[in-house]
Amino acid sequence: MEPVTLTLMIGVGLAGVIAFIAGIIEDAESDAGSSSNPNSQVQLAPQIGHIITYYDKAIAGEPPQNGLWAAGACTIALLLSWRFVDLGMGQYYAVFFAAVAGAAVIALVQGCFGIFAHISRITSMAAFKQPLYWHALLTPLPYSMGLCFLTALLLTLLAFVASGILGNSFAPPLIALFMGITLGSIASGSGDIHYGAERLYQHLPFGSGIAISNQGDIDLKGEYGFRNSVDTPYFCMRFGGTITALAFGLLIFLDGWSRLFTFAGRWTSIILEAVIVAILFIFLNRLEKYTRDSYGPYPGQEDA
Amino acid sequence: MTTQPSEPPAEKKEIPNYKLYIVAVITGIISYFIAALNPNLSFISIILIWPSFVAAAGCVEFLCRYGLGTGTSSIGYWGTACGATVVFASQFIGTGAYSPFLEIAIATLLGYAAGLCANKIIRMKIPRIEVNSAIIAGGTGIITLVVLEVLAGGAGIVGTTVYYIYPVMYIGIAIGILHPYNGSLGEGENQPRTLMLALCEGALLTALFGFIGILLPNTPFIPALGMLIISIIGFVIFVSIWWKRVKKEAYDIVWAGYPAGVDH
Amino acid sequence: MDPITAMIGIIVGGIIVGICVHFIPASAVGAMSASTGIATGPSMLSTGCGLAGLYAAGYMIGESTPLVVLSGAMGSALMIICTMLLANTICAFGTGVAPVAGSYDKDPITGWRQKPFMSPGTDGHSMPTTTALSGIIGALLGGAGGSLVFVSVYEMISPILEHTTAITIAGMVGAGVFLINCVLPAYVLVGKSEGMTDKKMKLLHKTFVSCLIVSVITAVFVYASVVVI
Repeated sequence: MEPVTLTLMIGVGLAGVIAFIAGIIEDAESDAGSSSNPNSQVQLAPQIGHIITYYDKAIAGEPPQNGLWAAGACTIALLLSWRFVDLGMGQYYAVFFAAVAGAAVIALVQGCFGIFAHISRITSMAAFKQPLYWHALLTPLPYSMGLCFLTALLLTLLAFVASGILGNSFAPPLIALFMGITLGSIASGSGDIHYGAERLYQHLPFGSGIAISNQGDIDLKGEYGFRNSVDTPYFCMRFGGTITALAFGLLIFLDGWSRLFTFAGRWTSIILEAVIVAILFIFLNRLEKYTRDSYGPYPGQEDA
Repeated sequence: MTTQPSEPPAEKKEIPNYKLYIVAVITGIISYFIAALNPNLSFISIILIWPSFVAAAGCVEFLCRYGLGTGTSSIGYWGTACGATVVFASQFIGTGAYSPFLEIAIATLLGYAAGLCANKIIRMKIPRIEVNSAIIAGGTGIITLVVLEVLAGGAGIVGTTVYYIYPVMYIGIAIGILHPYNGSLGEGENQPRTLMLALCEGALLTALFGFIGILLPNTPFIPALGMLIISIIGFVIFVSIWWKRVKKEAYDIVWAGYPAGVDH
Repeated sequence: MDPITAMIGIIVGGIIVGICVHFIPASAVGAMSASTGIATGPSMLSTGCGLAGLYAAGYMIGESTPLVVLSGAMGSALMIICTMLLANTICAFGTGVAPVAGSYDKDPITGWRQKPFMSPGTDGHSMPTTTALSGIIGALLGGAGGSLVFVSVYEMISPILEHTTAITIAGMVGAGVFLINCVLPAYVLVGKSEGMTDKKMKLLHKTFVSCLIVSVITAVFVYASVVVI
């Protein structure tokens, strides 16, 4: 990488902030339309007799979905930004406006995929007498498309920051693909637990995983009336979204931050990252001890 | 268009996948040569690669019906990885009359080898997994090859900036072939509706690629514009056919109402 | 690096990527806090973590090969430890469960008992210490393997193409190798794995052979298309 300058330090901070916000928005997007792993519960519910009014947005797993939105938006943004620069716009304005245009096109594509997925899944559930409710589809749809627009925009900007300011050698669309798949994995591994184990099963008591016998018995009623998919993101953003944001933001920030130091030549970042991994591993162990001591064993299982 | 394998008279009659693949290969090779010889006619090429989407999606459906155990999407990633990686790596081969045959053959071979591993070594006990994974790899290879050829406008890959669109093509085609089955998952899933959805999504994806192709510098934009317009027309036609099928098969379509069995 | 060494690099890298999937704990049912592991499918989680490693390796391309490979390994490890720490946080404060594994009764490193803390009717939740260590080992392997493939392909094609084109194409081929070699072990594991303490580690030889075959075909094809033609 280039010698450490103020631009580089600002770039690392900017990348961390963009990654943080992208984490919140991406988790909210996967909750606004029930997607990824907890969607298996929404799929299971009609089979045990619960008629659902959720938006069954089953596009693909969460990592490749976000890879597609990010890579698509970044490709369109890159090509448009060249055209804008040819027309005489300044470089930073060109990138920003092109990113907005690219994200807007990708939000439309996501809307199409989501509509196809919901309608065809509900149609396949006809044997369980599940009707196709238009309000279940059309109410969350603009919300989901808007959040996808923001996710694609933020990941595109992150790819441009990583490629332009921080000096990564890959082309921006490829970095956006990597970031999308990584963010999807992280959000699926952390934020979705809050949706799947907590929000979908609020009638079950806090403090236990969902037993196999309870799976599919999801909440049908919301705070007022029947639960719709727009009711999920405001709840999950408070905790699940923030934790996802911390995970992705920490990754991008620490990775860039460890490259700012040069005390051991080119091996500095590797040594620093190894130290950080060791410290976080110790945190994990301490958190495990704290959780075990706070909660204690399950009643009736102390001597199992 | 006569290549419509999706409206059989009997409800449970299914079209065998290898027939879909033979149609896809023939139309794919014809479309490659049309695109290479006369870029302005390339919108015909795009119509001729939609059968490849159908063939690949049909195989994904066949394999996933047997319960892969890992989620229905993984076969799609694997198949596209085989097909698209081969095409990307083969861009260095100078374009000649034999190159599409070579690339499609090697993509099919890689898919077949992966399927062979799955069957003989991992022992997944899914019937005919080798042939089906070969078809997925070959189908995605055909799509990638022809789209790249159309967008490069016959100018050759090395030296242009077409490689910037590799990531979105790769992941777009992967999702495009696994989504028709994944989106139609359920008790009432049947092949005609799934394949119709595959055509809709194939048209959507080629429209996206056409839009991206218009923006590419240093390449003629008439082929990409033709791609975009014909894809939008195809999309509208396919969605209206698919929607008629959905209306016939859904339990009920209402604007709002109380879910049954819940007291209110 | 001459082309034959690069070809061997692709094969070795592909096999290492396949093996790493066995070490990373992942299960789809974990999203309902019903099973140990990160709550995604193993194939996509390993791809995500390996691509984070490729991103980290992209900063170092142009330097010597061990530097690039180690940089990729550390990037992957950083991603997996962030994910695991914060997934444990969600399980602790969002669902209210302690990290507990289903595949062993006493944690080999800390000695803590697992059974009393397991929710009735489930198979464990989030990641105790040994499972987390297995995840870190898996991520190190995955990042290293992916970066090795990336460097090998780059060295093979950089004489022919200019710098940025070569890097992007090498990155794409690296991502493709990831996606092929991460899905085959996911079939061996049937969708769920608890890492190195799981009994499915005995099936490692199946992954080894399958990834060997697929990587050989890919490597030979890349070599042939670059060098021969």
